[in-house]
Amino acid sequence: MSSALESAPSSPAAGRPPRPWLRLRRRPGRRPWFSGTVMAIFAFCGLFGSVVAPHDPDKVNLSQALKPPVFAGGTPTYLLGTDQLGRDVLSRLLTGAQVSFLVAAGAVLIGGAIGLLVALLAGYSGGRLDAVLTRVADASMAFPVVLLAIVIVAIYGKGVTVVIAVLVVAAWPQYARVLRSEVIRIRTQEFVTMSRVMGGGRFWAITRHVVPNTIPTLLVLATLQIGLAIIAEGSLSFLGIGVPPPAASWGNMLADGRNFLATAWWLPVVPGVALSLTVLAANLFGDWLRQALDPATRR
Amino acid sequence: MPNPRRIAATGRSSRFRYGKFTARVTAGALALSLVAACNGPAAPSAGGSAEVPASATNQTLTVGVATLQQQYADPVLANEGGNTYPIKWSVGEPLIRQELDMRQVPALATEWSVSTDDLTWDVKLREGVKMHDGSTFTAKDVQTSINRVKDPAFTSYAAYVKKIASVEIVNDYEIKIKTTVPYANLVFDTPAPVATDYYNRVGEAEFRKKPVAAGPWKFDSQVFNDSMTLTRFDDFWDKDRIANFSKLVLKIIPDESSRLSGIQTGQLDIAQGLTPNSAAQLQGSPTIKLVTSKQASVANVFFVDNWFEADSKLKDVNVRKALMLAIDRKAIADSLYRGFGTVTVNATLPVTLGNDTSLQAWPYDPNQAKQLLAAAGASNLSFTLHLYNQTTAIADVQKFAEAVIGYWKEIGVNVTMDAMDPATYLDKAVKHQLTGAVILGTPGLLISDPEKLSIFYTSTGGYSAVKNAELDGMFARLSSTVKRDDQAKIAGEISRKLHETLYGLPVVSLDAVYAIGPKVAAWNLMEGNPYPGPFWHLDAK
Amino acid sequence: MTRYTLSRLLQGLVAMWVIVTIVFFLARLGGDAAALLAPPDATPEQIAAIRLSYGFDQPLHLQYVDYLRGIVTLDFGQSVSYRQPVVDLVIPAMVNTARLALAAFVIALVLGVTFGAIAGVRAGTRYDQAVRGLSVLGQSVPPFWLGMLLVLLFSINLGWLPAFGSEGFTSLILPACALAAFPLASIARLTRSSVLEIVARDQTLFERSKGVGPATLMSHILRNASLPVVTLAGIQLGAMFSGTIVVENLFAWPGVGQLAIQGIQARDFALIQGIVVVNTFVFVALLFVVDLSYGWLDPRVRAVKSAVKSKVGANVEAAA
Repeated sequence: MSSALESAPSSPAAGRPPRPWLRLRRRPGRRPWFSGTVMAIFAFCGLFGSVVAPHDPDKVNLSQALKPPVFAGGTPTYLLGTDQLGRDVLSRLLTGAQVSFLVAAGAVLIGGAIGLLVALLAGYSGGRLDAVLTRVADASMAFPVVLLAIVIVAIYGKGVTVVIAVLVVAAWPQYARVLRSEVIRIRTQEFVTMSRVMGGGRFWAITRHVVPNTIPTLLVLATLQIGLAIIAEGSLSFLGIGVPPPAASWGNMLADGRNFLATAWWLPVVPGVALSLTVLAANLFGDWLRQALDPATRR
Repeated sequence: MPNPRRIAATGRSSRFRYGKFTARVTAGALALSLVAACNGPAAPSAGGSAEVPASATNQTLTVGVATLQQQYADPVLANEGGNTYPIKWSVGEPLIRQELDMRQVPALATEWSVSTDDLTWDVKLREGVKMHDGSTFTAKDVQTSINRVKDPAFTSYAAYVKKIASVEIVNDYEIKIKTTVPYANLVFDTPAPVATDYYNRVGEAEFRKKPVAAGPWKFDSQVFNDSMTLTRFDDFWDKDRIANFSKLVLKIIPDESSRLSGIQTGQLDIAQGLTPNSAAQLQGSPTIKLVTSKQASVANVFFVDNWFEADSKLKDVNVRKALMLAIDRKAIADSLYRGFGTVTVNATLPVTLGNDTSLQAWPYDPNQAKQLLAAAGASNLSFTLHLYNQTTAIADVQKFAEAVIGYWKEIGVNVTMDAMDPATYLDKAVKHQLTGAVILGTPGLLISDPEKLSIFYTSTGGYSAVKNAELDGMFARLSSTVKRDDQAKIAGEISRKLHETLYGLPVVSLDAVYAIGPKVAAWNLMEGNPYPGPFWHLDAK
Repeated sequence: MTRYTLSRLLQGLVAMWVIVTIVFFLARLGGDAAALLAPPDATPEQIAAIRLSYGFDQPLHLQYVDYLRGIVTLDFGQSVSYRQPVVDLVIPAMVNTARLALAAFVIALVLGVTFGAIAGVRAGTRYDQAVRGLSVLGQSVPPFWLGMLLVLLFSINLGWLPAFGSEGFTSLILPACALAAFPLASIARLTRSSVLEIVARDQTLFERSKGVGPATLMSHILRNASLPVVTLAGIQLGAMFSGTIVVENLFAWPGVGQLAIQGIQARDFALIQGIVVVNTFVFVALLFVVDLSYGWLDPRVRAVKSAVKSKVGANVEAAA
């Protein structure tokens, strides 16, 4: 203890730990150009997709049904072709990105927030509350998520909120479990103990030390969860319990297009490529983040 | 076309091969008459080809179906909606059955008559009929079946049971059934007879798992949510309807794209429930043919607001008319349904008794629609359109809804779409918790009997969209009428009334499309039937 | 050890009870099963009769007590839609799902560990890069999409394998592969990073210097790297049991997922409950086995179980 005291800073404020995300700036090496660009495009379409869409995505025009994309012999009016109701695929892809973005962002933010909160409660309080919360998280993980989705949709009907809610239920325990161990690890580290010893309050310690130090892990987890959320939205739509039509979502478009693989290949291929590319980018970005932020696995 | 007398004649024929030959002759004649009616735009006929062997090289045919609902093996339980009918029609043999053209023809009953007070039915039964366990069919088997359905678990017979006063066996081949109210369809609605001795021996629970009845196919085995296997019943009384192959497998494949790959890979011999767009992929294939049952169902939009006292613009007949005129139904039939749809004239179909053929279809006239809306003060109308996502009666129902909503948008009507799962939808529809409009398919099979339209158009009907005293009166008269001609007359009145009031918009009628593979020699379909089966005139190569 | 086992067992049971209870009340929130069973022209009296015959008329708490008693005695009641005992429906379906899930699991585990281990030992080589690339890709393709492409290639175009069905070994291949891709990728990635970590440790260097054969060396590495992989594998296997539903739908596989969809569409309470109870039991049992296997795999863990577990957990979750 004495040696720790000797090297300890004199005030809680000065006891601020090295901020791990600063490593990002320091670490040279390969930049995530590909994944970063794809993620940026995804975010842009997610925010402004319906603004840049060339047509009304829901405009039905049966006389223009099933027109191929421009690079497959179609007209420039419909760059990526039209679907079986004559709706513009590009416009639907762009507005669909908004739904996928909303679902991913909602699931990641809410799931992450709940997970972090539970992790702080469990990791900081310890004892009985910790045991209970950990069991609840375990139980939630044991719950068959797709079954839950079907039940919820059967009762409350379809909706973006329902999809997000289901994904949050599936995701929060994963955040909670990982972050809890992070919280325990961080709070037992010397600089946090020191800040308590120096008279800093518990709230101070949590907000100034513990939370900032969990952020790298949280970021990595969240990035990887983006991909999972997008795939999950697709799976739910495939089963017909995802985002309700006529709103476009990538999962909806993929599910609708699956019978057209032989006759109008662009209907399943365009949203499929967009979806896989985005998930791939999210995963690569997550990997890069993890390597950049965590020296233990950086090799 | 096999008439009742012909069926009786072949029924007595004892030599199988001879029976098979007459079967081909009658089936051939039947096919000729159906060729015109049963072929889709690019559909070569599967029926009545000359190459039907007496005994097929392929002794097993596999049919891929989207659903068999609860997959009851028991033909009496399998009365819960059209998706269970394949079993009802295969394993069971009723007293009266529907012919492929929907006429009611004698099956296990040969004659029937009703007393002058319309309450007592005297039914003569066919002699020399064998059940699947080899026992001989008698009046007892009819009585056993009627007693069985008194259990409320047989929900689809609840209305039937309520009208039964007593069942009395006169002798082995004659039975008297008394009803509490006049009941025109009594003999037709009576459950398929079951083998009494077997039933008493094994009990209710075991019988449900392994039923014994008198249909052309015997239940063999089943794997839930996978398949049901039937074997040919060689002693079936009606040699016309005995197949030339021995094993029929009904394979349940919920995903349409998988049924499509199944017929392409040859895993399936028949694929049911194909949307026109999938069917189009198969056109031009050298081995796979498409067959259709023409006008199998009507895709309707009902305006449920008419059921309430509420102050809704949809209660104005001119608004409903505007909504009808706004839909380019020809484009929906030709483009979305690729010619497997027809612009409908009325809520009743050609197969419906008393269908008025002099009525004219409403045209596509968006300009007049706009004027009508403006005149009714409903220019910025908006409401919700409800539907459920799986229905055998409307192919691609979601795209159908989106197309209709798209046309309404053109005349400035803003409609929200609400697609639900069947249970939620049906529950709310029956309880009248939905407002605005709903989409429901009416299968020709159901509405060939005009009385069944009461489900949608009387104030007491399960899916009722309207409280109209005049219609209530017409349907009441219809249900208490027992004579066919009188029924037709009242049904004609109903058909005209529905055409002018437009409580429901019969948007298009749709064909049921099947793909059949190279092992199938012939299959004659039932007109106006969107559900798989019956497998009476199905033969292998 | 016994005390630890018992406490884990108890926790598992509590988790099951919580889920079973949630499902009971969730299932009853939507839709009146009696109204659904009745035909469209049924009268209110008929609906009441149906309600009576299935016990839906009883107060909720009595239904709940009956339900719990049923679970303990393995009697989940009668399915209202299939009109058969629930057990007779759920058990065969569970066996089918287990066949599919286990087949996929074996593929994922064997290939994942093999590829991951080789990539870890040969870090930085082309082989390593290929494994890393493919595993990231494997985690980016939705299983139903992969399934459709597999069917298009191997069933329709090449005609090698059946497009659906559950008879025989060949029909198992495509759905198992579609289901295995995601966990395979996760396991490969985690194995690679665990092996990297072990290889970097002194012990391995020491053994290498002693002249131990490559096979023995590999088995040492794998045994030491197995802890996080086992945790991840357990979670993935559990997830597969509930995740097969999409693949089952595409390949017409008669498993629990299909049964669940049917049950929910018919508001078949007894059936839904039966499925969830059996499903949860399988998951909890798997977690339990995984927990116990730590001790077997690595005796040191017993002493510092919670500490190691939390660290392992962190890596596993990140990899999953």
